[in-house]
Amino acid sequence: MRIIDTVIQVLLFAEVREAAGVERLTVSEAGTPAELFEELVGRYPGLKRFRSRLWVAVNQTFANWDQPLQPGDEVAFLPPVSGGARK
Amino acid sequence: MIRIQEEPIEPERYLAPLRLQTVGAVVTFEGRTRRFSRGREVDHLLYEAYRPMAEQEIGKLAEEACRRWSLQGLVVVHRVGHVKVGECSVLIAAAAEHRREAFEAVRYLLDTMKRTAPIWKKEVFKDDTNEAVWVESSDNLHGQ
Repeated sequence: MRIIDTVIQVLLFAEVREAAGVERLTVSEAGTPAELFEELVGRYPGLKRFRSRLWVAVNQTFANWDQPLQPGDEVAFLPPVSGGARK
Repeated sequence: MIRIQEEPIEPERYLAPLRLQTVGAVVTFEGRTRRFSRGREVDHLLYEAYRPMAEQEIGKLAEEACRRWSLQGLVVVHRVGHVKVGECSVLIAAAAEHRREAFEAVRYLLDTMKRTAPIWKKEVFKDDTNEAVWVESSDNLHGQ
């Protein structure tokens, strides 16, 4: 099994990327995006203030914060986009 | 055609193929980087995209537009990276037999894309501060 299939890939963008100082990382496991984000806040306290404004995508699709995560998933934390409202 | 690109957008290159003999209307929206934003002089913009997801999201919107309106061609091109003042940052164009469909499709794509495509814009100002600000629209429902 490739290493990429056994971990969760995490992508950060724009303001969130800048606040963390990193754009891509991996974690060995996380139950849900909400839990994963809490773990990231532990590593990068500057992320805490974004929590209520973020959207999350799992495998490039908008997802819920309580969606179960699997090894191999790609999780992206998305700050509000430039143009306006998200559905 | 949907494209996210770093190089400058040459609108003519994308518009020429839309001008079929069966087309009666080509409606084009060209979003451009303006020199002044909120009273401050802009040096340049930085666009950042979650590229595969942005392409997918725009693709879904384009499919929906093709379901809703009878289109003969559709183009969405978005810049990423460093965009200078006076350059085109986004191009949306629709070709149809009649103008109403082309207008409505472009309007739909513009409005929905700005809400759902994961593309972020940063304004870098030209004044002494060289301040750079991520731009978030006031009508962002999620940020309420």
